[in-house]
Amino acid sequence: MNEIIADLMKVVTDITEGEVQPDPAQTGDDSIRNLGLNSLRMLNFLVTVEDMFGIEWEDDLPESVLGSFEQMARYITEQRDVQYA
Amino acid sequence: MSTLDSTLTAEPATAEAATGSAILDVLRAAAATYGDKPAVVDSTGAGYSYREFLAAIEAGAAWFHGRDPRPPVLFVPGNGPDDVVALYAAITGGSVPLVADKTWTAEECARIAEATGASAVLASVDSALDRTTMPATDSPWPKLWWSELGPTRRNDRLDGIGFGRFTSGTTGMPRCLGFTQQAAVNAANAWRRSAELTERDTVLCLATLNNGLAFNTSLLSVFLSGATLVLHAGRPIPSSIARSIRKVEPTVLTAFPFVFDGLVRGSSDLGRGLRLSVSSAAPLSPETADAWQDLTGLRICDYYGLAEVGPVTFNDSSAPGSVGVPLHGVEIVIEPVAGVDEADGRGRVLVRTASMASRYLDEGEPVFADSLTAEGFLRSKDLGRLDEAGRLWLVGRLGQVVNVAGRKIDPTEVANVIRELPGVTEVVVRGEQSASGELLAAYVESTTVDRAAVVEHCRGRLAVYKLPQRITIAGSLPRNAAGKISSSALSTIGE
Repeated sequence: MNEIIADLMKVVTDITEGEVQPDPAQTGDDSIRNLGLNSLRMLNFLVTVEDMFGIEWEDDLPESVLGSFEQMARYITEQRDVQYA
Repeated sequence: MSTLDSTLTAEPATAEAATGSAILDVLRAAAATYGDKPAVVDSTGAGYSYREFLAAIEAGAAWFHGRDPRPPVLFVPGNGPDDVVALYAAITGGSVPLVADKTWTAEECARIAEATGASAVLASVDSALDRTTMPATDSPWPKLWWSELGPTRRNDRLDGIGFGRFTSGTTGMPRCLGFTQQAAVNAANAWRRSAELTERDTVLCLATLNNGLAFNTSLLSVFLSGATLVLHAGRPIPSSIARSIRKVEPTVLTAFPFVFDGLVRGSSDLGRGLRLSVSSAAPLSPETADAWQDLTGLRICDYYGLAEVGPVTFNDSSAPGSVGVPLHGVEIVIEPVAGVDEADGRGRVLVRTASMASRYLDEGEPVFADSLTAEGFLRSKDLGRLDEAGRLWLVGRLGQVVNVAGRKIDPTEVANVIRELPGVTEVVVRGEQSASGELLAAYVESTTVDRAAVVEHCRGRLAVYKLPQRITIAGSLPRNAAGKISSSALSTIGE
């Protein structure tokens, strides 16, 4: 899961052209929300994550998943497990 | 003439006309005509038939009467069917809702309440407001909460006013415009005619309800037509929106440019049921327009409106770059402007419609009448020209001319040139102060070009004095909820 978190952080760095560089030590609750991405950047982030990991965000996705690297990585792992089951 | 038809005739947007019940008349006629047909639903199918819609609005209006708030009320809607019901309940209940942006902070809302005398807030749980910080109670709508504010001054400007909307906050403190009910009906009727909405249409609206794109194209105009309004229930993520489109199979889609950008990037199949795609609020990239045509077989049409006057023009995509022809009942005059080259007929765009605001509801300056000519035309800040076919072309904005060492530069002209550079998705050009005086600054949204490419591109297309001297390139520029660039936030880029 640490590898997924690292990939997610790299996506943030990439889509913000290095303006936002997440701290690898900050992965808990609100770790994404605290980055201060605006709505458009957040949208870009989510679309890129979909492309990168081959998933689609569900409509009833808990808000907390989108706010935390750790929870987002866990969600991605579960989605992939479902896909490959 | 049917009962519904009799409500379609445009009437002067006067306070006298609005003291009746123009919106309720439309909704009653629609309920009588379309009965059990879905009026407004979310993308899961939950919502109201025309008959249920009217009943819910009337019950909601009674609730407002019971609360007896002193109008106006700040209304911060989400994007669901209940929000539409609450809007019309507040209007027909006489509470004069001021339709706010759900991304506004508590501080911004407090300033608005102070400026308008709003006595209460009806806010969505999806808004940025936190009900735990206010003395909030439930409302008849599960996702809307109610909070009465402390003592506020009485607003004496509400005579004949049905509701309030706000001008864009991209250039300063939002101003609150007051409209009659009849103005809303007239706006809806003008759009209905141009978009040729009928009861066979299903309109999927992805714009937020406070925005003109939604307010003028996807609310009353839908209900006047007997069409069905669908509001996206999921997150505004392209994959989620694409699922809604495939499920709902809309005939009309209204959305901001960034939504179209996302949809063409992430979708392979959106069906072929669409007949009309409408964008507004910001320029659409040519790449997105082409990709959308590949995806759906449609060109994206453009809607141009002004908060002060409602819908103005519609481009059916036949003339890219133009904002199209005036809607029914809209008059446009180009007024010569001192210092502006009149060679191609360009000048200030003056607009008169049957859907104009009556006045500002806040205490700011100037007063609304100062924006009007003696004939009642709004003196917009847009610079444009009309071609032989009557199409309007916007060529710049007044009040933004940059003076660089005595040379007057229209920043929009420079921005349009930079926007032509492949890989550039948005540009803002403006004057900024430097130690040596005012200079031209360009904020360029791109993930592929660099400063050298921008300079090289401009050097071949612009006089040397028009070359921007400060170029900031970013992957995304700050936007408000409507997708418009937030001018005030540009200076924070790179901090």
